[in-house]
Amino acid sequence: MNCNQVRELISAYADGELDAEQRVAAEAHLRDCAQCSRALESLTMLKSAMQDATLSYNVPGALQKKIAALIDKAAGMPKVDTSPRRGIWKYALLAVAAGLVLAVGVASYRFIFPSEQQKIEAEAVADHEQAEYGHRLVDFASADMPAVLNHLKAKLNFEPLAPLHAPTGYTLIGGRVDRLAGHAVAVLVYKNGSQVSNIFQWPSASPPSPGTVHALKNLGVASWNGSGRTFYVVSDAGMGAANAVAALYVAEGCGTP
Amino acid sequence: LRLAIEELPAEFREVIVLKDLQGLSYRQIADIVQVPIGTVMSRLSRGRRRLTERLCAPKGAV
Repeated sequence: MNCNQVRELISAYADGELDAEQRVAAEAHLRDCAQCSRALESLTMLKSAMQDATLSYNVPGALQKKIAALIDKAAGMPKVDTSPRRGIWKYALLAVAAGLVLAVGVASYRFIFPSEQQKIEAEAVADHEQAEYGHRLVDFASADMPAVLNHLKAKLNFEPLAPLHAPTGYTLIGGRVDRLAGHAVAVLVYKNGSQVSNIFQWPSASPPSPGTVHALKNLGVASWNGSGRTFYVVSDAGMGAANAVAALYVAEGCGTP
Repeated sequence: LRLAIEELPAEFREVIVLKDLQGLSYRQIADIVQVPIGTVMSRLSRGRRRLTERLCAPKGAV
């Protein structure tokens, strides 16, 4: 292996995700190459800096369980300890095949019979895009959360909930009243640079439920029920951002399941 | 570091958050993001390279 090849793989090497052959070849190169070793060192430092507790998003336990369940379902396999790499290939192949069959099955089933949640998600995403490209993000522009909540409350027959401070990196742009799933809904709009996050909420009799989070058309979508309301987050900044916004709302008692 | 992560394009930030903050495996990330494992690997690699470059030569305060 040369330096370029090693630099391509060094990140996966640091994660322990290389197969045995690649790992041995990378290690042989690293022993002789001071520059690549330094690159590995700074990568390791970056990884350990990321473990800093202040960085992690506080994903609620229930949401974490839901994510884990989704992953298991998508992979279609029980949890396998992949640390000893030899001898698991047969099972890995079987699991991948099972996962593919399941994924195709689930995808076509969902395509033919979209669930209520999927319909609302599709509607929320369409709404998010329309508001953004139609330049009608807010009908009350303000970064003052109590003022925005008061405006929305006056136009709706319920009191919207939101944390007083915006998620890290975001600024409150304002709010608008919109329609979603046949309800008049409150929408709070945040921006991080050019990236928009819309938080939809409306009163709901659904029992409190832990959230779901996933990617849809390059957008992050999160949803949960709590405090007698249903919440949907749609974010330009992807799943991590939707997750972080949802976590802040739940942590601040806005729709805590 | 948080700012640097937030400034990453979404496709890189997504895999980095799932890997380094949520501790998922490449296979799990591939399933969630719905891209091949090779893409997860290259996005992580490019995303981390951007992060280290950004942190070593900061523009403005980090």
